[in-house]
Amino acid sequence: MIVKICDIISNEKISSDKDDERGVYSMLIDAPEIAEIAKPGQFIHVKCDSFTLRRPISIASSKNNKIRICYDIRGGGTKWLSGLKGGDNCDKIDVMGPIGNGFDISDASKKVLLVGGGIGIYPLYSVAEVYGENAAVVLGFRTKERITFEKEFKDCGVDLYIATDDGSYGVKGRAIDLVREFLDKNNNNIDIIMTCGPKAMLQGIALEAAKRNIRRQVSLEERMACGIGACLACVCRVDGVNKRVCVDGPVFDISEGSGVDFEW
Amino acid sequence: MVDKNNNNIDLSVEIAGVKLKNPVVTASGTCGFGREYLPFYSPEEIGAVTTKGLCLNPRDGNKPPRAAETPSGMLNSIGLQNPGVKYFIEHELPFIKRFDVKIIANIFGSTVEEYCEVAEILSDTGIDMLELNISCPNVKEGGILFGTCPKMAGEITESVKRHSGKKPVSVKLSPNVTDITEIARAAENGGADCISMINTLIGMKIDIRTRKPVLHNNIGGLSGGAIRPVAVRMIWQVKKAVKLPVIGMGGVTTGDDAVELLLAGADAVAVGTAAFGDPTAVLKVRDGIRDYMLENNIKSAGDITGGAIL
Repeated sequence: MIVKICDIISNEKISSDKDDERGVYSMLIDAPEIAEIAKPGQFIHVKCDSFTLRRPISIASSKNNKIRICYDIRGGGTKWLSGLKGGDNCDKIDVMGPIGNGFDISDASKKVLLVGGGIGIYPLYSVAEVYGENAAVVLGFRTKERITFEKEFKDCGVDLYIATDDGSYGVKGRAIDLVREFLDKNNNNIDIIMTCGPKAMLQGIALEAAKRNIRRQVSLEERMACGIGACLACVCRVDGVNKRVCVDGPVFDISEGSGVDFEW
Repeated sequence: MVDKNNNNIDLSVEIAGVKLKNPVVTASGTCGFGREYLPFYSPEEIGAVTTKGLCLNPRDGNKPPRAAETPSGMLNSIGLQNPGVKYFIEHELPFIKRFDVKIIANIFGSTVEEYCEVAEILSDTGIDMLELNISCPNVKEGGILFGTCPKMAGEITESVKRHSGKKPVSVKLSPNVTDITEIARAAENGGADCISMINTLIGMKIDIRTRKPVLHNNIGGLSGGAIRPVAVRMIWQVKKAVKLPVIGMGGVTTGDDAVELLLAGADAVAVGTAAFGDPTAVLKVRDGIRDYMLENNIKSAGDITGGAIL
């Protein structure tokens, strides 16, 4: 675990939201020690100004001594983050990580289906980098303005499908619909499904994967405090027992047990 | 203990017969059983580790969300999730006992009998002090009923004292009362050896977009810098009302914050929420107290206690 004040290399808005107060930002951070050991699906815990709690943000990519995080402006903390500057005389940022268990990338010759919704797509990007052509990717967004990383995913060589809730881009509908269609067409010829996004989406994907008996890993999100497993704030219910999202997750393999209790 | 770097500074304090190498301890519920913070500091660096609240049987706690950011603080409603006192004794206590650090076991129950049973089980172990949680706002079993009624606070203290053997008992007080000195006096009359104060203030946060409370439990305990002035005021009041030592807590983030609580009358200081922003906060608090002593030519940490000039 590394706690370090790092240089910001760049920090820019990548979604096309017209409202200045909103949007997804991508920040590149000079963090060699973290970049060296980070695995797809892990996150960093970011200190924001004088806020009491750090903000957990998943690592979208880690290479060449740098890590990239992408975050949506959700409140004061992320708003403050969005105002930080990279480049010459850059701002600095206090980060802690990498934290948690990531996705299974032990065998990149396996066929993987990645299903992401909203800002849940970014940890999956680091998985797509590993699996390349062996990955099919389904991404769901609310609307065209929220779409990001289309080119980045394509550049990994993946088979990419996009859905928007309002039909302003790609297929109108939800990611789960595209997933069903994809799996039907491919005779369930997928070794593992990995997913990250809104709870409703995760629930749907987990159920669909279970029905078709496909191995599945979900990345969970929960309001977090310490980020190191001590305070028990980010607890969720997996396979019938309490699990800490920060250190027992955020990625859980739910192929064997009763899975995530999303109602808990 | 004489500080290695500053020959004439003595950071150690003694509370209810328990000698702490410095007046900084962890606050219950914020550091697990001490294990998770090992990547950041050795428990030997601090005065004592206070455990997460322990009851007789394992408890799952509340549904999430369990935490929310608030102005200069946070709300939590963990709901006293813990593995039970027996698991603690078998799996956690031997681990933390390998370190040269005092251990304060925080306990709670849903009945007086449960408090007593947990105290009795722990009285025979290597812990150094019991902290009686009669103030958790997040579950009905968390003792806040005991902690808001002087008569009940006195009775539960007296009962637990009959089962705690030689272990000193600190009673952790709730600030969610009209007159905290009444509860402190009742605890003192019940035989308490020490007072821990303050637990969290009950608060609530509503998401104005969804119109729903942010915490699943609707309400939770407010901690962090926002509550420090309340802690300072209450410690000052209680210290005038009782003769017991006080472990002070409530929004301590820096050495200066800790000194403020000490000046109000605390004999030691617990650090909790600050560790979420900075996992090494306890060390900074400890070093900050030392710096204050050097700057003000104070030889012993105990000499700061109650030094507020009125």
